[in-house]
Amino acid sequence: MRACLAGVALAACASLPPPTAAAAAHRHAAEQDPPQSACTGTGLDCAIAATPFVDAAGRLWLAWTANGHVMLARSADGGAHFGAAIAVGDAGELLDTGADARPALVVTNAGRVVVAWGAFKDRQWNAQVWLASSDDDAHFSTPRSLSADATSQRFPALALADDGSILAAWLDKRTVAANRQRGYRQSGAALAVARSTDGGRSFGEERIVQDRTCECCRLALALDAGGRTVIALRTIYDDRERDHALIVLDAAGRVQSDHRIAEDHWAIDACPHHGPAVAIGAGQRIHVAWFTQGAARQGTFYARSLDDGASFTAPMPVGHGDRMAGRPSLLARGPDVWLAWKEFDGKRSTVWLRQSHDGGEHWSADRPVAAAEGYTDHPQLVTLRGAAHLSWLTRARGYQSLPLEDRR
Amino acid sequence: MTATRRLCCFALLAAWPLAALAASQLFTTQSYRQILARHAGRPMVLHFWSMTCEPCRTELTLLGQLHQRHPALPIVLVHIEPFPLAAQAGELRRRHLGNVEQWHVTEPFEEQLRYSVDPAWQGDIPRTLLIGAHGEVTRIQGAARDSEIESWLRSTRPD
Repeated sequence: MRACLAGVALAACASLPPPTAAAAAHRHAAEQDPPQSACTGTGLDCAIAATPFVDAAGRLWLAWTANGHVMLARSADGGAHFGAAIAVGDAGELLDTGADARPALVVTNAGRVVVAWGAFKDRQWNAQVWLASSDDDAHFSTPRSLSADATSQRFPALALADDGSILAAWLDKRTVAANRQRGYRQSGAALAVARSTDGGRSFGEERIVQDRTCECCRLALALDAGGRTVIALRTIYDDRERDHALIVLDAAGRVQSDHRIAEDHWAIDACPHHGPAVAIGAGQRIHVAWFTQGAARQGTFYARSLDDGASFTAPMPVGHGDRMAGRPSLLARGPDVWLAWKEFDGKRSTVWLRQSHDGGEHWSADRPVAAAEGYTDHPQLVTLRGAAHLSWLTRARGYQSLPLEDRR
Repeated sequence: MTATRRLCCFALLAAWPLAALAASQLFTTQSYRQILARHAGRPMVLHFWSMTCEPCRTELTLLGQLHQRHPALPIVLVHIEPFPLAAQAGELRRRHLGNVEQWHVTEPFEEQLRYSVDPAWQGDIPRTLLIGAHGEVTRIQGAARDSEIESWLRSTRPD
């Protein structure tokens, strides 16, 4: 990968214009500014967003987007080395690589690999969620549409249930289009879900769960041991406030509860591009973290619920608001909870971590666990070989899978 | 250096390494400073948008009308998602904004870029910066209203 980067740099140098003042100025600027798009390959070194998944055998899989492609690779040693990367999709310039977009990935216990991603499809910027699957890591099906609806879908999320089924959730514009036909302007989009019981070869009935979601923030999806689905997402309340909801679906996919996580009152007619995080711990404790610029509070916050979202603890501030604390990720395992987020000090992005051993009642002191200059992806937490790991893609320091020391 | 020559210089800078692409310039962590310097001494509307953002497309239509009403008022547009330049140009042309100063990115508009504009900006768009003749900045989060911009324009004019 490093060799590839160097190769790109050499090629770029060879095509430099004559040393005019402008070119010199550009080179000077480039030295100060980590270059955008010097990278032309499809490898991890050129990736925009990388999504990890740890399979039942403890192998770390990564799906990433790079220069229009959706790529996949597998590591048997916890991310130190990856096997050959293969292209599972090629959406070209229309691949959704917005700030909150990323490919979704699950690997079933039977070894089925399923990858989903969004791509735009027309001049109205309608999108489509594409899906490709494989019985190994080498031969993928031709990508097909996840949804049978022709309107627009974005921000896919996939989760693997204990019974081996795969739950897909995404943001869907079909109700917006239908309402427009009726002369009614609906803000945002709808939340849609569908389940596959054949390893992602096909998905069953598509259900519209709720039709007032923010249209431009990723979803957070988790499944509990009882087969219920828990989704945290930015929702539009009273047609203007983009606060968060926690929705619980029963094992049959019916809405069991839909509650506002906190009354942040972020009234904004805009795309925040900043989705939440959710994790389920022991005793059905649902942990959530989110970003807001509401009238009631501003910054990144954490809360938990013991009653499927009917009530939440008071929002706990996370990180330094004056350093852009955001992009939260949560991992819960039994009573242990890890919360990671990203900050920026004007020079470097740093991933910070706080940890709880009692289901979120008490938390460790915050500590930085990784830092990099230049472009960085959102931090993501996974369990790998029984230990919490940070999965983090950085342009300057490559992809990192870092074990997180257990601190009390 | 005349304004025209300076413009040429910047166009050259931005054209490399995207030589074959449109007149849109690559937005880096230096660009905000350059834009302010280039337009110093007169009011300017600096607008951050994306064509995948519906509130942005609505606001862009308003900016197109503003541009027609006040052709001498510089409007500078920065598209903050890495999507095809030709498509961006098409969106702008349809709204009578084809000839305004345009900037783009080739990676998501993450923290380095946002910080260079506003250390507190977490990525929400549309976002409009109304920059007065003396460099004073009025930030509008979310879709700006016509009346807001017109009222600012009246208040910031030297006359």
